[in-house]
Amino acid sequence: MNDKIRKLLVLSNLIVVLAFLGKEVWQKERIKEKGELFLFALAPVDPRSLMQGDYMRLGYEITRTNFSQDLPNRGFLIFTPDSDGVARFVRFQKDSEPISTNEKKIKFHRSQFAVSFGAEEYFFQEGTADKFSEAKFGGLKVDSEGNGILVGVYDKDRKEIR
Amino acid sequence: MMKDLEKGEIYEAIQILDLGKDQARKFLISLFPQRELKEWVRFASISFLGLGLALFSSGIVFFFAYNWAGMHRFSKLGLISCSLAVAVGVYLLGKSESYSRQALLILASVLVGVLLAVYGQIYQTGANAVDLFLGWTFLSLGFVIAGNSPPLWFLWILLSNITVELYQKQVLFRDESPYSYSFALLFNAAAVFLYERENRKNDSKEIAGWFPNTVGFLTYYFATFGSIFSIFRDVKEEGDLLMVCLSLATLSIGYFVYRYKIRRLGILALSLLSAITLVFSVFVRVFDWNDFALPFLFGGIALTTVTAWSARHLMQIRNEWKKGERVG
Repeated sequence: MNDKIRKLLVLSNLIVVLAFLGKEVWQKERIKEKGELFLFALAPVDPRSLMQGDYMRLGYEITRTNFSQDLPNRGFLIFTPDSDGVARFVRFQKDSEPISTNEKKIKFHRSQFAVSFGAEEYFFQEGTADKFSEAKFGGLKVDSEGNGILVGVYDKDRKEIR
Repeated sequence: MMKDLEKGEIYEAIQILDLGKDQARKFLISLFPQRELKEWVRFASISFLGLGLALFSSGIVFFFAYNWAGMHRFSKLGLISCSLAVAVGVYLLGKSESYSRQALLILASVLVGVLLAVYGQIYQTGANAVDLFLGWTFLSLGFVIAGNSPPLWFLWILLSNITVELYQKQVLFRDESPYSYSFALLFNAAAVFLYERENRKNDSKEIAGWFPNTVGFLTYYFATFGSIFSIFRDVKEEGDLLMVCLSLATLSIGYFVYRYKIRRLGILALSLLSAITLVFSVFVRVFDWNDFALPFLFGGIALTTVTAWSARHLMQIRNEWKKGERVG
């Protein structure tokens, strides 16, 4: 491999990385902007990850209490929000339809013993764990497709903890 | 080969030749020529480069792991992206192949990981997610191929292995499959094979003896644990047979290659250890748990015997090699 090809390869790798990241960030930002906010009740604990720092592991009531062994690997959790946006469980289903007008959906995937939204960890600045131990709800922005991202945690009065 | 003389033999030689203090010193210097200053400088510069790279990378990692609430998310991503662009830019400006250019590529590969980790941190996509390592593996491949050096490949192989492990645990969980262990085994074995082939082709001094040893270790890890997984599974399929056969093939090929073709005692030791582990896994699997005192006793005795024999066998091989070198 001569130096020209090598440089071309390195440069294109850089472009691919930045393009990929841009696309991913763009998608997440859209959910952040366009998605509706719903609250999911919690039960948390704290570990630490080497590259990403302190985080709080979240367990959502809605998936814990309604878990059963015969769920599919991927699907949708159907819920109805109350007046504060707190989610109440309706059912699990494999496909995005059928769904009635007051119902909302969020994608889930399951592991051996649990159902997950792909938002079971909340990262925060190191050393600020005490503040977040008050968390009673996880706030997820969910778009119309059922893609959700975790945007914050909320206390018992349903106020965001910052 | 002078360098393989034992201390005792040199001492004997000095005794037999009846050398005085000064003479003995000259004799020793002629056996072990002193290093040139140039070599020392080269050694120091490589070590400092490696150390600097490691400290710098971990500094970046820990800075972002702190997760500063006061920093806007776009400035975090922008900072890392710019550093990545700068590392690549400096690489592109360089002319000759040198260690520092390699270091830039390693830094770039690490930064790709930091970028993905911070992205996960910002959008709360979960810790140690398989997507992170999968992305990291693919998005650093270009840098690795361009650099084509043992440390870069090693980093990449490590990432691939972590990806496979996480895939087993996070995606397959319910049906962990012998096929993914087999794949990991073949993948690592291929890496070792390619290294050995290159090394033979160049016929020069070995540049990275640590590479086949560490990647060989990974290969044996998957051979041993993949087989144990297959042996102890309640439901068996063709994949399990494939897994065990692959492991046995790896063990025997590894043993013969590294005993008769290339000399690496570490991998020989691993072959024997894996073989013992596999045989005893089968033994434990077919064990009659209702009456386990006798098999337990005999198993223990057998295990002790085989381990002692392996150690002796390895020492014999080492001595054989030593003798061969002295004659040759």
